[in-house]
Amino acid sequence: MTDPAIAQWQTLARDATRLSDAKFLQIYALLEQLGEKPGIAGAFDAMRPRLTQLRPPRRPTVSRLFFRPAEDLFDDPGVYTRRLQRVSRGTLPTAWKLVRARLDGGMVDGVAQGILKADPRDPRVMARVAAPLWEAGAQALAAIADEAENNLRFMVDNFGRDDDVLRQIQTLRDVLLLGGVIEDLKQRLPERPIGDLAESHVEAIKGVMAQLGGAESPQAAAPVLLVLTARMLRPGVILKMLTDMRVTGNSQAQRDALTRDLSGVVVGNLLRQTGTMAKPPEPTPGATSGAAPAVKDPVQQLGSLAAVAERLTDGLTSVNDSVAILRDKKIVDRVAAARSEIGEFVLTTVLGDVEKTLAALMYSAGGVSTPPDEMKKAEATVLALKRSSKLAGHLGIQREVTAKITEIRREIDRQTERMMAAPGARGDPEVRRQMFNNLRLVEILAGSDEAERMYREWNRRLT
Amino acid sequence: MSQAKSLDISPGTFGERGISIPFTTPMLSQARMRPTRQGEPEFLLPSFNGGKGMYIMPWRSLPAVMTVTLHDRLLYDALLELKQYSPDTVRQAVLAVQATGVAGGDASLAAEKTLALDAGYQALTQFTLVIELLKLARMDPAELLATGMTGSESQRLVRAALGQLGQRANLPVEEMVSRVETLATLIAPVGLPQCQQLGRLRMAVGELERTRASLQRWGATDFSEVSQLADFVAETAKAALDISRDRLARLDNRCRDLGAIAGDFRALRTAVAEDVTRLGWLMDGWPFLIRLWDSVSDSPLEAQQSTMGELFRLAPLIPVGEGGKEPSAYDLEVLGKIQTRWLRMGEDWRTGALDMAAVMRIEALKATLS
Repeated sequence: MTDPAIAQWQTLARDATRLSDAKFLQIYALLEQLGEKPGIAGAFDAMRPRLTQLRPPRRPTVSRLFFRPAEDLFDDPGVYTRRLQRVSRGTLPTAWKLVRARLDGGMVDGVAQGILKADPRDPRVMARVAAPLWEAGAQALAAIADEAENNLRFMVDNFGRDDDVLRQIQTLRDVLLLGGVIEDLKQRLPERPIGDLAESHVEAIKGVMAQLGGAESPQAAAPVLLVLTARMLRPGVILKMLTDMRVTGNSQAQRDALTRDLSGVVVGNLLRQTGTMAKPPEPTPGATSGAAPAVKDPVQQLGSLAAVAERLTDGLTSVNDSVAILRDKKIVDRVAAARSEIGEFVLTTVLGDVEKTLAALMYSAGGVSTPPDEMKKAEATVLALKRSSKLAGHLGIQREVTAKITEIRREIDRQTERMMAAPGARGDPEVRRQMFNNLRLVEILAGSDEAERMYREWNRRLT
Repeated sequence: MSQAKSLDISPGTFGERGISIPFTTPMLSQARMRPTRQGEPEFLLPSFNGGKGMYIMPWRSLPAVMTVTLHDRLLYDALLELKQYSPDTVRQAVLAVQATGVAGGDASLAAEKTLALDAGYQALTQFTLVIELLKLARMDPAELLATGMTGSESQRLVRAALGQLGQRANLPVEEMVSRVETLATLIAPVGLPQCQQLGRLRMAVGELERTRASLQRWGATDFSEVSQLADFVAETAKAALDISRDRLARLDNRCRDLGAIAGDFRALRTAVAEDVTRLGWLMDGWPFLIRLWDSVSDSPLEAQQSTMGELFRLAPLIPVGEGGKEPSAYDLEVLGKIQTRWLRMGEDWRTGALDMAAVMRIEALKATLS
């Protein structure tokens, strides 16, 4: 396909983002049916921000299935950072084109048939279907990397002159070589981001490490651990598991090197995410200023920002020991700087106007009690604030968070006082409903003991 | 303060097993309540860490172990005011507290709707009862079945019809009305077999049957050791279903011979009350577990396995004295170990702090219960 045709696809996709959700999803479904044609990938890039919000079910394709074991390592081109064993999504179309050309056509057709017959919601069946693809594909990737290294023309034609792409291809190859093991392990562990692990989960991870090389060769499990740390809320848990791993003979040095490498990658990734969290997404190349931005509900946004801050703080806290092992002052300083950056982020984005947002939701409607939908948003808002207060100690913003909570509590008290002092408040079911609405917020912000104390006092006045 | 009780010690009766209480504090969720000899409620909590054992605690001991939600504190106040503890009286208290909004807007709306449905279903049961009695006396119910009547007009006609029935049975009209009202109130939780709309306990039996089949299917396709937990929960459900079906059949037979209303009413009332109460006990705790299982129907396998551990922990075994199996019939120790291995410890378990997100997940489940 010619370049103008590719540009047309992108323009069409950008135009589609201005349409209603239903129409937009209809166009997405039609594009999906076109399969892997040049230009379609660019169209999907343009549509991705809105797709991320709408999350339509994705039809598995051979290429998607091929990359599935490594998908936790993928970054959009705009936020991709080198040397962190991540893979830019921008690399994938070329990688697949070259792999596809080296794969046996019969095998690929067999996988495509398998996809059609299998239940796409059953990851175990899909893993069985994809097993030959991962094995042959990993070999193909090795051959591609080899050729790129030895054939400058091939390298330049396909990847340009940037050696970093070869590192990405290497990461893909390592992960896909263990595709079956990784997909099987994913099914046995909680969904990402993985928080707590049960004993059975720890056993499953240790089982895989033992199966791949065990005490003699801890390095063999490196690709699995790489994917796993990307899925963990507290990746330090995996690093600790590695540090605690029993080793034999010469493998001590290997284990230490793996721990160091992986710690560097994990910490680097957390720092990278911290660095990009407050930045708006970079515009897609060629995007016109008229393209409708995907507007997110501010309360939903507040909740997800608080969740991001919590995830990163949790992640950084979990790697404290690993950072100490690295004995690298530069990294220690960067971690400290990242913490204060997250603190600043929470102060400006989550805490910023939270009291105004809450007051608008709770007390601006005409009636006495807050409408149910607004109340849900108000609860989500105070939950975000509460999340931030849990991080405050780690981030050094305790004073600011406490001040916000106190201000909101005062407003709740003021509004309740006003409501109860109004004539007829005693027998008014709406007043009683709003009393419980306010108590819900007090309970989230100040705990159940305080909520009970307020309830006893307010209830006494209303009965 | 509290005493641990081994899983091997099985309660002999439903009363000893206690009534499941839909608390919203995650560690208290579905704790069972039973009165002590002094009449004060005590709570039976499955082991917090998923291991073997059961904690028996009075309410005052709980704050030392965990933070309890405001909803649960108000529910406890309401439970203390009950004169008699049964799954039905507890359910009324639960719905009343839930309707205040203390467990969130959705749960409140669901409770209000359920209370309204209960009232409507009781009226429907009474109406169906009158129609059936008229048919039994070979009287024409056409007038009562006419559409477009006001509530008071309908009540007047019902009363007139009961008056006629009473005359035939040599009973004063007031007595006849009282007997029909009493029976309708007693039977409404299950509903009459003649009524097309099912009562809530009859629906619960149907839902449990559906869930048992789903658990069995899941157990047959899950290749991990968790499938043993699914088999256990499905078997527990089957035991409850077998006894429930017997009870339902017995109750339906009684309801097909409604002439007893005008005869030995005391015997009929006692028998119906016994059947309905037993059905209440047999279904107690299951609606929450059914919703919990439904809530992960589209979730990944790991989430279903984790939920299965929770179902195992909370599955209401039929007490031996009520027709259930001896605990030794199950390998509870092995199953308990499996459950422990698959249980994820939340923050609240380690610290006793309240995880509001987990509380809200329970509230969302409450909003789907009726």
